[in-house]
Amino acid sequence: MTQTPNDPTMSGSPVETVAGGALSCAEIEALSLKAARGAGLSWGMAEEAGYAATWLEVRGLDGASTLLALLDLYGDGDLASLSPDVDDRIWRAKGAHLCPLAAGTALSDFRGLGQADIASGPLSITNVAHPLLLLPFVHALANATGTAVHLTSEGDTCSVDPTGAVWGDIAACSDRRDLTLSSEAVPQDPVTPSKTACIIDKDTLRRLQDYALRTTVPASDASRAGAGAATTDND
Amino acid sequence: MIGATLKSNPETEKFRRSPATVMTLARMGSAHPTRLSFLRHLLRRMTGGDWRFERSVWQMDDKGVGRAVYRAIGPERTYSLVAFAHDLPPEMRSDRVIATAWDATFTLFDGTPDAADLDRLEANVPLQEAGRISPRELSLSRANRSVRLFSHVVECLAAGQQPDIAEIDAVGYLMRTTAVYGSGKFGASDYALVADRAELSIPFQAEMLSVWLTRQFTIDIVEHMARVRGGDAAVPLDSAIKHALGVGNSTGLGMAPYLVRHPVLLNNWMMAREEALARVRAQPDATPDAVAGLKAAVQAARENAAYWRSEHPIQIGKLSALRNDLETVDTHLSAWPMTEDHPWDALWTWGEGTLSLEGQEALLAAMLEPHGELVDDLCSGMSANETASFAIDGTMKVGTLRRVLEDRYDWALCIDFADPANCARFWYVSEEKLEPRLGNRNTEFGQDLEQPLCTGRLAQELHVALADWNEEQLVAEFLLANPDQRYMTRRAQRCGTYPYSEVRDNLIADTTLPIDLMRCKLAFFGASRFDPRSDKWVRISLFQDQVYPSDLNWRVVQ
Repeated sequence: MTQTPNDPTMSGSPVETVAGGALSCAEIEALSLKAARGAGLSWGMAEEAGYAATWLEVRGLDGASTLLALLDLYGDGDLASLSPDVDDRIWRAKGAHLCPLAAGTALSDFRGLGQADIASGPLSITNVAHPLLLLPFVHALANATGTAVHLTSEGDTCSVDPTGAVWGDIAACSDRRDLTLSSEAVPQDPVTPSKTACIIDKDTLRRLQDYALRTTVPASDASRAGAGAATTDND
Repeated sequence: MIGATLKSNPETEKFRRSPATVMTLARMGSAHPTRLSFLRHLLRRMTGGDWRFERSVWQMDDKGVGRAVYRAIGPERTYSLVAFAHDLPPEMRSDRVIATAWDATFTLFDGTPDAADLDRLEANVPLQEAGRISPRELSLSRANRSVRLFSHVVECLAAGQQPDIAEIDAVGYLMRTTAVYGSGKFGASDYALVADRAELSIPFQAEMLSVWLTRQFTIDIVEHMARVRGGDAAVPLDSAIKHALGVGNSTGLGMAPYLVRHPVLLNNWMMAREEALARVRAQPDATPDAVAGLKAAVQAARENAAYWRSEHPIQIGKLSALRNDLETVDTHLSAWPMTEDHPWDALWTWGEGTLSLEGQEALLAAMLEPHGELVDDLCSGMSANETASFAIDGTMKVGTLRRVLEDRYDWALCIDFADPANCARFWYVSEEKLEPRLGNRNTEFGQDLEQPLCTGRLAQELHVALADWNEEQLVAEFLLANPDQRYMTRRAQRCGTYPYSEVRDNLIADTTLPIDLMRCKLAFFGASRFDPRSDKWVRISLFQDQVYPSDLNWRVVQ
């Protein structure tokens, strides 16, 4: 690009695309959706990834970085068999471990049905990778049942109530876990946010953008022409 | 929810057009702005007496470089358009989204900016996509001059003369915006954060306010440049000429997928307009005032059509049909209403059988015009919370989902996608600008990166995938086995609830015209003088013939 003394693009101090401030929800959702698609998820599942990451980020939980960690697992081909085996009272991975988006969407899809019935007894979901990403879908379950849903793992409990508020200890959702879902009431305090809402660190942002770029087509003369004007637009 | 309210109204339901009629590209591509359009809604609020306006900052040098602030001060809140004017060398002026510099750049600030805000914005707003705004801002936009008209007007005013009316009519605006970004873009406030404010609860009010205040800026900057050049000899722009000027807008493919990506919003816009038409048709008689209002609206439409120019062969043909249609309507109205029952319905039925699609949609707009009291409340149903209908209903039976497809996607199930003509194109996003584009499947690289805008083909694929499933099985079970069908299942379920949510045409056929999608969206904005420059980009005009803030409760801070 020609730079001239009057070039208005140079009238301000240089600004990075994202200067470390908060992203809008629209940006987080769009970036997460594209990144998930770029990592190979179907469009419908990528939409769920966008929804889930945003749901977590607005609550000050690590939605974006957790999604990134999950997408890295996809890169390893580790979650090739997506859907869980949904048996009576226990859900299992078909592969090495269970994708939280696959398990989460199934929880949401089966809300109100026997497969996800937690009113009559606890439900086990085994070997879930990055179970933090389950919480947005547990919210849908809590909504359907009208009561808080509790996730318990290794002595830690974390809950989501029908309003979408998160309670208890988020450690219950860290790493890779066997989880138990129940509607049994456990008195808890509001969860401590792990970060400032919607601020995503630069490295996470850059790496999600790298995934997102995989959904785009490199420019060519044909594509530039295809964007619009074939004639002058400067009159 | 508007859908629920409207469904329970049997009085108007029988007068409502079906989605199969309304949601075709050909008809969407003939849409006209109506009194429900977002621009008109904004002006009703701004001219209602509760708002005042001022130009609070004008720091502009002799080259027309500097900044300005326009405030719209409402009963509860103030919004400020912050404008930066630049001295753009001609070789850098382009309306394309791939441009990097503009004659002027803008943001709508939530409140009144202080000096620190202005400095922050000056470091970012002129960069547009490469800059960063904050939740204090509600929009980000830029505009270029119409070089020919802008220079002509400056020269005339500087010499103490008014510009040539023919030149004004030929262009219609001093500046045209080339992008107006809103909700959540580049760090701006998410719409959800402000949607509960009365003045922003209808879609695109912040963007429309920004463009309306921009129109005032285009007059102020041209008069400023005339004063710089002509000194005491310079005169202000004649009021009538001023009112004939709108803000131009140049829009490319980036806008086209919007309606496909916001199905509930699309439904609510269409549903509001269709219910408005149905309410008008359902009236048992026509009052003299309404008849006079209709005739005035048809006259205004005829004048608008006379000034409306295009060089695009398709639009030239449609304009010719429109002018003929409006003449036919005018003639018909000389003997309308007769003594018939439900005269508005009789008029509409006559129009449907007589007029081209352009003419029918123009008649619709004219029929709504004298019925503000009857239809304006429908604007309140035009926003949408897409998240509320995001979760898939897994308890739906496979048989029900199949019937939704067969009922609402019947147009898609009969398309032969093995025929190359029916899948000749593909939508993708360019790496260069992260903008949607439309490629040729046979000759262009990238179809493995196709965007899911091929809704017809996806509906057909879902229907095939469902074929082996028992009627009584559940969607949750189907998706557990077919996670790849999640996207289209969600769309289909939404379409089952929101009947106007889906464009009922093949969006990847060789005959698809993206400008049809843009026309529909722009008509809902309130845009006039739709002028396609190809099948992929258009020019339009906003706020032409409407009031300026300076016509209302206005002051200039010296």
